[in-house]
Amino acid sequence: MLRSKLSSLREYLTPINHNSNFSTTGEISPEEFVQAGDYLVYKFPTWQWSTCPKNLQKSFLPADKQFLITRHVPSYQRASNYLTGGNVDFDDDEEYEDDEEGDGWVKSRKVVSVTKPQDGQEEEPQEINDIDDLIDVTAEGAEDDGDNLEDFDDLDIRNDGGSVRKYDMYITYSTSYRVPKMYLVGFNANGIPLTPDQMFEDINADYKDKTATIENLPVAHNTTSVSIHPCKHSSVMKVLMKHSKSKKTREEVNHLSEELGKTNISDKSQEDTGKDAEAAAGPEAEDSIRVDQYLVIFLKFIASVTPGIEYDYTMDAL
Amino acid sequence: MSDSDKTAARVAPKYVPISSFVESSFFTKLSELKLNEFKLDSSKRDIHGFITSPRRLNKFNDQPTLNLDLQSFDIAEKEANNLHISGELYNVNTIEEFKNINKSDLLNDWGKEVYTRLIQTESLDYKAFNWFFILTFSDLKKYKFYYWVAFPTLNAPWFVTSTRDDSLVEKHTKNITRLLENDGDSENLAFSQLYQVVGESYLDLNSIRSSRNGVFVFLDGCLNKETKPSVQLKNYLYFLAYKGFEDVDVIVYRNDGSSFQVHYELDTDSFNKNVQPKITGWERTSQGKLGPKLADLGSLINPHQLADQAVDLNLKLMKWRIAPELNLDIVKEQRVLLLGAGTLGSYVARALMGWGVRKITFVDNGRISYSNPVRQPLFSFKDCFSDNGQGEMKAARAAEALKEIFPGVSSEGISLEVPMIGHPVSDEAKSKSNFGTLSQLFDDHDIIYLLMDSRESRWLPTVLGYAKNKIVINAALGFDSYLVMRHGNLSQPEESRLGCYYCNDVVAPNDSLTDRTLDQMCTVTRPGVALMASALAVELLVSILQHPDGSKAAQDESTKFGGVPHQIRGFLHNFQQTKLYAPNYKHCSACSHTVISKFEEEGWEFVKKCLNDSGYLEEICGLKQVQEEAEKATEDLMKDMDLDDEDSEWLD
Repeated sequence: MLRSKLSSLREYLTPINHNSNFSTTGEISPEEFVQAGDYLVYKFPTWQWSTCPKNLQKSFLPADKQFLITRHVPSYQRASNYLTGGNVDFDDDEEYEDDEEGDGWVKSRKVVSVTKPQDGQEEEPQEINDIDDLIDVTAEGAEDDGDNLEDFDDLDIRNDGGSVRKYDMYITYSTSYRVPKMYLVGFNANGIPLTPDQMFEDINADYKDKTATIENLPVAHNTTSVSIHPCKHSSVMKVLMKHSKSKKTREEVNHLSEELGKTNISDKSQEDTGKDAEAAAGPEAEDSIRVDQYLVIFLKFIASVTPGIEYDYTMDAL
Repeated sequence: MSDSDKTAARVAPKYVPISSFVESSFFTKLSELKLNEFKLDSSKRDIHGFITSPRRLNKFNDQPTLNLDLQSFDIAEKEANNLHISGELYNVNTIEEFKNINKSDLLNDWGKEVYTRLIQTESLDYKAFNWFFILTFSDLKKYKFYYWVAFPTLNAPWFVTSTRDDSLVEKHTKNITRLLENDGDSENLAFSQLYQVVGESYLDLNSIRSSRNGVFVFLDGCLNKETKPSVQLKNYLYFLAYKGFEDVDVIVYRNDGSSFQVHYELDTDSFNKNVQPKITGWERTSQGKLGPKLADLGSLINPHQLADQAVDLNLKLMKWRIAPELNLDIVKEQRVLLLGAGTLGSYVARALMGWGVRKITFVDNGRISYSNPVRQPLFSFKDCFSDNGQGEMKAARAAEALKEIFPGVSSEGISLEVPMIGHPVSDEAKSKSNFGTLSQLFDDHDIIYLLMDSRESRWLPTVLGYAKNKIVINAALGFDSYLVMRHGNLSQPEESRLGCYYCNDVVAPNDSLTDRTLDQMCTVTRPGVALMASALAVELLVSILQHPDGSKAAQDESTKFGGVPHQIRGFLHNFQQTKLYAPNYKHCSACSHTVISKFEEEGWEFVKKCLNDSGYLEEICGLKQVQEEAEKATEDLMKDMDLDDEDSEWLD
């Protein structure tokens, strides 16, 4: 906690650099964070801008755009249940690994096979026993009046074994690292807050001991969250953007040749791709990853840290 | 509706249940209020929660959700994107009360409140239909919260007969979307969850025109692939039955284009508007059971546990890239005994805490004096005159201070004078008991730090350390120099067994305090020297612990974490630091086999004899013989020189 206090002090003291250099450093300015956030919200309506209590607001961000949030994102199984191998986000992982930036981030991994969640594996048995003593079948009237069954029936209970968790995901701007920073606040199937240890079960084991810490949510009072420490974000982002860029260039070539073949664009994703290609061909074409796409790439990277949490981030165009 | 619809099969309606999501900040605030405001008063409190506005629902809102957080207790701060609904908190004082309270009666009472409000209130809004209650018990010591949320629901005997009119759905969905957008961000000025469709207009709850038939639009609280409205519709349906409707079409509005229509018919035979309806609405568990929830939030909101986790996590960052092989657990498990709670003791303790060490014991017999706090970081000004003006006992205060810094530490302070060699025993009972306590402390700890301010007080702990096979780290200061060393272990090969503090001496340690001036007695040092020595003393320990052989590791070995040197000497006048190695001395007054075995045989009796007469110790360890031999050698040399004197010309 001390560390977290120190880091908020540092956030406060670090002078804001408003100049843009995201493509060379992987860092973004607050204005670019807002731009990228607007784009994310536009692309994925599950993400929303939000405000926070006045005394927690950062003056360099608009009051109504203090952080991005997506609530109640499901996580159907724990990170440890994922069988890993291969690589999902990058075409050429060797290059990524051998990159001189090679900053210790492990490769992101692809889900090869998914094991079914087992019933009841979520809760500690001890807890269930404890609270099960309090189950009260007569709480909605006498059990024997025959109505009860009917009442129960009119609720569409989806009994999923209690393993579905819901996460509130927060993205804030870190001034000390000049990158976005992710915070997770989780709930179990019953809407009860998850403890840090439980939340760590949803962090990829390769990162768990390394980059996830417990911190107070900076945009709310008294809310403990698990944060993904941003100290390496910028270098990872630099690498990811390079990859996305080269991948995109290839795709654009493909796309172009496709278009030459059939000029009919109807489906929405193609439309998007077309739009992006158009933008890329515009004045900013030199750097084909635009800064407003930064957060989408950032989320792709975070997805490798939290493989089981199913928030929106996939985009064909990037 | 047409006759053919009426003959269609009647199906029991289905609803998506609402569930509560309670943020930890809600419980934090509840504990705070319980402690400072409610105390034993368990009367009902107004609170509020929020549900996502129908306009803002997305695919993650597959069930209607009531959210409770810190702001639930504070009406002032509201977020525009959400709809706020009112509720009552009923916080009982004991778990028995929570268990034994009649839940059915409670729900019934609450339902009656909702019922009365619906049929009596002149100006209705969506809040009247979405009332909630929460029964809680807070176990503040364990940070456990038992709670059960109820959404009192009034039941009327409606049945579903399936009819669909997609063009109607489409038309109204468009209209409502427009309506909602025009509503802007200001919260529900015109918002109503149920509208009656009359011609082209939408009438809110207060303007509903009673009739047998009606078309309504319900703004649903969730998005769901299945065509079932959320359970919140039930109170509205009851209201419609109460108002005389028997046959209604409800268009369930959803912002994702999946709006649908449900046709409801009332079983008029079993409906009596003058009788209070059956009440349901306790929240069910995810498994569909009727039972309360338990939030066990110690690790989430207990500051002690938070500090505990944070300290460990912070250390683990080292394992990320810098030292993946680092064994932090072995460091954390060590029970460390600090002999001396002064400058060195204070700094060593702090550095140990930084490494996650949880068990630290101080031994010191001094009190805190006015000169101490500026150099000794565990003490402050007020410690110098408390305890009736004498100043606090150093050991106890240091232990307390550690807990103030990090409550997860298990620290203890023992006021004890370590028996010193060369200081004759004056009160044998006391000295013997001190010896016994010290000996027990050695047994109870894994690591011993020698951080006292005199040379002779280190002798007994050195002997005990060897005899009890402990890791002993010794730090000593000069004016602008320091020595940090680890003692050897008797099971090391004799030729390379590391020496102890006394191995370079040819005299047994003696009283260095009596007949000395203050500047000779006190550690008059450059203030930074203690920090440097303390830091090295802790880092040396951590390095030793990484070696599989621990204190038996030879001085020239190293691990992935680095070297395990024997001695580190530093000099501030030229800012130099050197690593040194000195093997054991077979006649050492502390670590020689004869001394240790004599100690093991006789225990206190041996110690007593040594304390009283250092000559005795010199005799035992053979130092006396060495001295005699040396004297003899000198004499011989002198004799030789005398003889040679005659050859003076040659010498010149």
